[in-house]
Amino acid sequence: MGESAGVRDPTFRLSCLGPVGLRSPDGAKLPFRTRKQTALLLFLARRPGVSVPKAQLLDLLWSDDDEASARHSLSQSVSLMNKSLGSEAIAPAGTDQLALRPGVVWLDVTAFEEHVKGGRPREARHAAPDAAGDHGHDAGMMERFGMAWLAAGCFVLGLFPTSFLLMLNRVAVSLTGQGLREGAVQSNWLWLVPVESERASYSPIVFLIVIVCVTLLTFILVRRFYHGRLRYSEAWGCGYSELTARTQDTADAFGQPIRHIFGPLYLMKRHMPAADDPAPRFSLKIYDRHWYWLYLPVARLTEYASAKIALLQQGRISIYLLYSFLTLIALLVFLR
Amino acid sequence: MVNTAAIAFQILQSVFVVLAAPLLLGWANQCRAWLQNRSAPSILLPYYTLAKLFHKDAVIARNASAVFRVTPYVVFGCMWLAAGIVPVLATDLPFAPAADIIALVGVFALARVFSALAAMDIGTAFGGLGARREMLIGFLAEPAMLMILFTAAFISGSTQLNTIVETLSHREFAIYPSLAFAAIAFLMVLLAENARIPIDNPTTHLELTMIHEAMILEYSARHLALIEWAVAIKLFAYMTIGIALFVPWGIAEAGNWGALPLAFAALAAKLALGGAGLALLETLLAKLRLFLAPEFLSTAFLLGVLGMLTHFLTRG
Repeated sequence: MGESAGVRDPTFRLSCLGPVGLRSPDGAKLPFRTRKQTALLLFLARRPGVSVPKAQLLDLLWSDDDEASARHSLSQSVSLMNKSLGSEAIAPAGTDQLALRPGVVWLDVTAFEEHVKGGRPREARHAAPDAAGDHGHDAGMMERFGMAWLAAGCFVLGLFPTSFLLMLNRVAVSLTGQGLREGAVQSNWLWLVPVESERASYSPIVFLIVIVCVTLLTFILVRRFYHGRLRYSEAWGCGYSELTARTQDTADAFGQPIRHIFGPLYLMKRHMPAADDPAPRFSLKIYDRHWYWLYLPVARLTEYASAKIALLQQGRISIYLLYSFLTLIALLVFLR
Repeated sequence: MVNTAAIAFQILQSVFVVLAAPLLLGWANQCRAWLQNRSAPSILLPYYTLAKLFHKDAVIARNASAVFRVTPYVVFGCMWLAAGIVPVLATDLPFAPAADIIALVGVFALARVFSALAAMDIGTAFGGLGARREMLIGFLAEPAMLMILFTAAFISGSTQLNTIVETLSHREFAIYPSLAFAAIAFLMVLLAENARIPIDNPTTHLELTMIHEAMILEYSARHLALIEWAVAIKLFAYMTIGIALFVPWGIAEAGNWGALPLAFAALAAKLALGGAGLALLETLLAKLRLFLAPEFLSTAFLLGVLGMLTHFLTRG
């Protein structure tokens, strides 16, 4: 695990995710004499500041020995640890109890759990000043209005299609000479008739009214035959209801399946961070292939051709007079 | 043209479809159980499930908005409306002139959009997942569906479903190659749009494999009952659209009470075969990986286009 949150305490670092090791504040490795010493320190570092009864430690580590030699071994291990960690790191706390002073040993498992629970970003510059992380808020009124008027436009277009279709019909007539049939042009604001009224017709407003009526009817029937009792609770979310800022669903995520399918049509350059990246970055750039296939070659060809033609422009007036003279002679010769 | 008998037919058909849709689902589940060599649950099990769900108290998330609460009613209403448009028992229903097949596809799309919005409303991860997958499948399946419907519309000269049914049922029996292509494409689109295997497994409990189910994870009680019912009605409506386009014989005219028993009998026989066929397909096929679903649906689109081109080439 790399440096986290840019905070480096002057404490001993005990790592147990991976090979177990203890490092002093200046980075030197401190070897353990025995495995029981390792286990003792890990046990106490997992609960810093918590008083652990000596009897529990004796039971865990020296259960085979008798009481006296076990206690002797325990006090020897404690004094050896205190020599490495600094005096009184592991101190008696209460009757026949031991505790590791908090802030002396940094344990990576504890830090990992805090990261997972707190959802803090790995990069310090993204860390919020307050740990609550409540920095997302709903879109403001103007943002919503920007999207709402487009949606309302689509809605109006769907409800009153005949006027737009008749406008487009004029374009079709002027371009191709053919327009909609007579019956279609007679469509009024209520009924849209594509060809003839006997063949097909469609009324968006009647449709909408019927949908609203059927929805209301459903609601009334359900309330009439059953009940409308409601209870509020936390979102279920299949048990994964703890969402942090890193698990948000964005518009980019919504379009991911479609982007995946139509990926070959676009040139997508995607950089995904690896799990152990100390400075993870995600970037996605989408280019149009046709720019490189069609447009750029034509542009280059045009540039090449114009560069060749530009050779004619020498910038001296005598050359231009020569051009006029040659053109005159050519016209006289070929156009008797 | 709009007489009381026609209106009675319309109401009868709407009510019949809503009541009979869970039965079709129950029949398909029974057939699947028999094919899997296990004893089947009762054919009325979907009804018991719906009744149980309606009685429960609805539990919704604290941050649910109005869209979440309105969606089950809108979805059910859209499916009910679709059931009223499709000529299930009779053609020439009074409501049919207001909507043609393109509007029918639009009604299904409206239900899908509302489901996706409600899924994203709560803000959980699986809601967003279900929403984007459902929009992907819908976005790929709609062109295929429209191609199929255009093929049928070109043959009968109209996009009104009534006219299509009348034209196809009154011609002498002939094999239209374009309709053969369109029928296979329609079957593929039916499986995709109704969230059946091979696109989606309706009985899965693994959230990462869900498409439609992931959108309704937060619903409970009467909301869930309405959505499950709407799913059953959608399957019923799609099957009857297929029947109306490809095997329309036996459908009555609105107002003709004498032809009604034959219409019922023909519909029951066709749907029984359809349900058994669906169960057979679900037993034989396995669910596709999500990003193989576009290949499935582009095959359907291709077949639809082939059907249309065949129509122009052979006028048949």
